[in-house]
Amino acid sequence: MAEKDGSTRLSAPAAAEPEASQQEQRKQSHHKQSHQSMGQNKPYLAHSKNDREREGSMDPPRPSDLYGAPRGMLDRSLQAQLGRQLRAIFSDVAQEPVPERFIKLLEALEAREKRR
Amino acid sequence: MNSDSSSLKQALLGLIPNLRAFAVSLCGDIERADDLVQETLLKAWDHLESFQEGTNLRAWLFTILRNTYFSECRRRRREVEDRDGSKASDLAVHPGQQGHLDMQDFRRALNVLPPDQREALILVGAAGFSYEEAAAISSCAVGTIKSRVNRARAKLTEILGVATPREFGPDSATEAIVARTVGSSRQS
Repeated sequence: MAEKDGSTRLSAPAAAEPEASQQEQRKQSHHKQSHQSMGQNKPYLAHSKNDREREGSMDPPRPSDLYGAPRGMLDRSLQAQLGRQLRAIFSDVAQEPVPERFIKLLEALEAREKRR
Repeated sequence: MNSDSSSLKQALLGLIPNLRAFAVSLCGDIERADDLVQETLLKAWDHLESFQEGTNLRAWLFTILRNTYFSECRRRRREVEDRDGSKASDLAVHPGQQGHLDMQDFRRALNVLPPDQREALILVGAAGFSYEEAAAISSCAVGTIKSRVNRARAKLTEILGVATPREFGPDSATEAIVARTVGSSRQS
């Protein structure tokens, strides 16, 4: 599976080239524009279009596709963190006991049903 | 009907923690989340006849909850857009030392995503639904879900990924392996 990840670009050399240079631009621009650029970041828009094009292909999805295009170690590391934090936010709440108000609500609904 | 309503009650009780988790991740606010869960339970109870026996009760409840949430969002649209706009403009989130993202930063970034992208990411990335199930819940095409998930991940990376490689420390090789492993197990 390890080579698969790296080979996404090889299978689509035409798409990979402009993407790589876009990334360069993005890395450079991050230093200068941390505040204002988030909303109207053109490289991002161009990139999401790339994502859609990739989906249109006949290839089965690869893990690297599911986690966005392969964008090197830094991004993959970040993707792993994002995944963990997303699941943590979810499971933190999912592990809490059911609040009293819902237990009472369901008891009331059941009681109403029985009276019918 | 009595045994029915009792078993429905048990089933709903068991799914409340999941519904709350979904609602909180969707709206980012525990009080609003609990109101959404309450509305979902009431609707589910009153419209049980529209639930098809043998299908996934959890997915059905998630559908009711997200529909409730999104119609509420439409009602509050202008307010929501204002809020998202102001949040997006003062975003200067970056990972702290050692590259560990602060949980608060992550929650804030999640809340900045467009609601449909956030929903897709939560369903697939946290609640464990397949793309197909997530598409059914959001009543859209599977390809739409995939592209929303991709855009959500790209956007989060963009918002949170303003660190230089050095800030990530020596851990990044391990992280990459974890990412690949998680990615490939997700495939099966």
